[in-house]
Amino acid sequence: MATTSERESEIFCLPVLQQRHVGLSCVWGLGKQLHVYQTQTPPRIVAEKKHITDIPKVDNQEIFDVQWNAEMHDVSRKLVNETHNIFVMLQGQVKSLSDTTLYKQLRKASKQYRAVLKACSLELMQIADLCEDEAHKLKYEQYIQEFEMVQLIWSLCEIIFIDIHPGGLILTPLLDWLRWHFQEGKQKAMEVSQAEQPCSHAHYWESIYRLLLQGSVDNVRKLLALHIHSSSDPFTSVDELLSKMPQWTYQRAQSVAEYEMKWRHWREECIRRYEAGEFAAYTQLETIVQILCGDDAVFREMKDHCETWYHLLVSKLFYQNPTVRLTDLTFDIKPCQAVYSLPSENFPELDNILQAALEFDIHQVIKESCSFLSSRSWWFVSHLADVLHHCGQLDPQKLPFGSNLREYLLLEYATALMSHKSLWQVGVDYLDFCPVFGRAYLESYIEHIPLDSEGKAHKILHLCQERDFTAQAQSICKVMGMRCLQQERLGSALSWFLKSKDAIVIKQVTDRFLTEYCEQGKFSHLDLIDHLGPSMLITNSLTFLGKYREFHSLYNSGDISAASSLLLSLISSRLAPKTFWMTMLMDVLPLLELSQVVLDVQKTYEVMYCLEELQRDSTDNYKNLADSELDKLQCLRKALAKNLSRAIIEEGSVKLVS
Amino acid sequence: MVSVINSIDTAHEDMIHDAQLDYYGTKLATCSSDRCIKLFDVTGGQQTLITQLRGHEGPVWQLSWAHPTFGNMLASCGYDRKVIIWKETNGTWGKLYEYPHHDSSVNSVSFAPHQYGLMLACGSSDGSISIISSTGDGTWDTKKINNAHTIGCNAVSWAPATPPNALFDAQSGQQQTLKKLVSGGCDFLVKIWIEDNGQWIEDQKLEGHSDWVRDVAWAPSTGLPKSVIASCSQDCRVIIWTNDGVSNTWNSKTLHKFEDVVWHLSWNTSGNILAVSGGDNKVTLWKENLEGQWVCISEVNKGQGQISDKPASG
Repeated sequence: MATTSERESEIFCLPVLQQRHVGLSCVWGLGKQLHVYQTQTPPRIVAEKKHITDIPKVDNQEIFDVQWNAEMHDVSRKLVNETHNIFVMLQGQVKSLSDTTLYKQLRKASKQYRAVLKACSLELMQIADLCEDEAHKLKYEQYIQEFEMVQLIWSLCEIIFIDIHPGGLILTPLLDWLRWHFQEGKQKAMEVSQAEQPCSHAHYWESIYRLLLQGSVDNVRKLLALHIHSSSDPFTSVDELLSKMPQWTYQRAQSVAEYEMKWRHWREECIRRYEAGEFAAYTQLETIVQILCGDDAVFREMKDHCETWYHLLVSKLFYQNPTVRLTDLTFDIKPCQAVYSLPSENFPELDNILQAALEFDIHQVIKESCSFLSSRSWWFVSHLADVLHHCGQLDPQKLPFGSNLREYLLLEYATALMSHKSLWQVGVDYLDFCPVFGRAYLESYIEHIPLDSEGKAHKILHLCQERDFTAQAQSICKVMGMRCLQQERLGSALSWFLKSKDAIVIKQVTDRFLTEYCEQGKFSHLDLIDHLGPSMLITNSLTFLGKYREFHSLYNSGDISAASSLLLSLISSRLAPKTFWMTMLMDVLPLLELSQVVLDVQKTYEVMYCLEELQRDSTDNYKNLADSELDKLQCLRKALAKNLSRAIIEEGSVKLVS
Repeated sequence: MVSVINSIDTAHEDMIHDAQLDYYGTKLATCSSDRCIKLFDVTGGQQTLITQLRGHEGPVWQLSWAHPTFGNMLASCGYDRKVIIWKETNGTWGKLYEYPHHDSSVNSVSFAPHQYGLMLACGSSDGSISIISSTGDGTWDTKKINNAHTIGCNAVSWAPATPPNALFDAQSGQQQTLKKLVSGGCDFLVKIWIEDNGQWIEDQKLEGHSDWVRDVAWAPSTGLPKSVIASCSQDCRVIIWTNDGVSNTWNSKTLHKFEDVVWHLSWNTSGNILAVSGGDNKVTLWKENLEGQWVCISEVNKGQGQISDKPASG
């Protein structure tokens, strides 16, 4: 069972003086951000009760904006964005592929991640070269170093945990690993071979040793051939030995046992020639052959050319025990470490991580990596854990906190991105792949993303809809609608509120529309109203708005009878808000003045009834009707009476006494 | 790696008692013993004073931002026994509503989840908790929980709104939103209140502290059915209370015993990190690790010396 990532708690000091009765308090910002300020302690009320009279005075009441992992320079952003694509694709493959094809994809993904790391590293080097400011340059160099370390660890993990070849020898990829990350030998060799007299170059023998320790036998032979005495016996003998060194290849399908036997024979040959004194003339050649013989003492001498214990470990094992199995590597770790008195450079943690990897202790690797590189490690640890998890190397067990290790790390990574102004979108995708907590975390964070623009709001809304976050979607629509309303953009407000499907706020907007019509005599957003469709039915006032507009279009197109029946049904249905009745009644007026009788008796009575109701209401609060309005009502009354008489005559509904 | 990005000089004339960021992290409101509430625009790393709100007649203790659906709205409470709700209309901030019905200092104010509409709770030294709500038409309705805590109530905090499908009334087949509130007081108790048929009743009494409870905070929902509350007290301890979402029992676990009184605590957005500030002059951050143990992950201390160089922007 994995033990916790026991990070040391990070301590940070604010540049403020210690003062009696002045403590610190804080409020959360977005993501890993705190606003910290000084405040009175104990709080005033308690202080009064305790009769603490010296009320502190602070000169500058400042609030400090403290952030973790805030630095996200361009190259980090690139790392985040490019690896995001790899991650998402991988998760898709995990779902759809069978085991064997999946393993292939996992290996590929691991290499892709490394490729991105390398690209970022190179870019950083370019930037550092061009940088003129000393302080910035130092910072870049620090980043580069961190990238290099991450690559070192990742590639080792890939060899040991991901890119496993059951029939193969672990040392083959380990030697590749050395060659890739320890380039000094190769560089020195290039220098040397381009010199006029290579063998007298200061680094001649050094480069030969370095290459030999990495198993680059061909290059060693080439360098030896450059020696002036290369045609002499000792040289040709060494060359022969080197050429006869057994190579492990997959093609020849030899078994490990076969290979080991070949190697033993070859080594016996080396030892025999050495003891025969064939190389006595040249101490360096003797050293070379001692290495080939796997002599312990000589490797201790070679420590500087190996630079680190892990290099020494691989080199030594290559010549002493080339068919060693992964599980047996651990036995040689301590002796190699003992050769070096100090831990490599300033990073003892790096040593621990590599050691844990070589000891096949994956959980220790993760644990140590979490506390290493602090901020930047979250990218590294979470992506590595994800790949390892899908390889089946991580314990998938649910931990007490509620989910497994992979999810714990991914959550850390994703939440760090959520407070970033553009990378939050990347964070969303990662949270999608956290089965236990991802959804809830996302719901909480999404509500806090500032809706800076309509475009962004639409984007976030779309995200919510994709994931069925109905509550958040509704909330976003309401907030945007409110903003539009405040800015008097009624049309936009209505379309936002319609999306929210919240009847109360929709009513608010439609009431505004109607008020606008009353004041201005026209509608401002005809298009929107004309195309309401089924959403018209959400609230009464919206239905009314749509129908009223329909009345107008009917009237304008000349379809008087349809228009008038619609208008009358609207009046009698009492669908309209009371404030609008005045307007509607006034709309009846032109209908009454037409040559033909449009309103029959029944309808005329209805309108009259409506008018009475309005007047009654207004006499109750009679200050609502202005004089002009009272005049209009008078007009209407007259017109209605006139219409009534005409209608009665036409219908013959009242029997006339002759 | 911690860094101070910038510092905002609030120019308050007296000690600050609370600072709150709005929902989107764009505005910071601060309140102080100088009776002022100041609002700052903190977008883009800059900070500019938007306005000052004056209206309290004594120190202002706490602030709470309303959800953006209500527009820009802020509530404050203070020593003058008042709770004031401020709103921005057409670019100017003004008083929307003033609630003066407490007999003593109002110590805490908190807006409810916006799903409940415009609603807030406030706790006072007179021992009662008021729940103020409005339907938006200008009328305000209040419900008071009298004698919520003897001697005084120091803090109130709302539970996150229950997710839509979580609660089903088996008989009526209707969904119910169960409004829950937690409060801490001078009677050493942490209490949970539930609204039942329009009335607020005491649901749980959590005992565990041995001195006045100074602050309570209900953690945001993390997707698991459990509920988590943090409380801190003058007994120098922070206690984490958990309920598994199934039974009615709350288990308690002491996060840590500090060297001095703990005054204030708050949860981050996702509810997995707790910020604690206390008399030991530190702000500490606590997180649940893989084993479900709470460990301190960061500490902000006071230290002498120059302000650290602002980090170079890449």
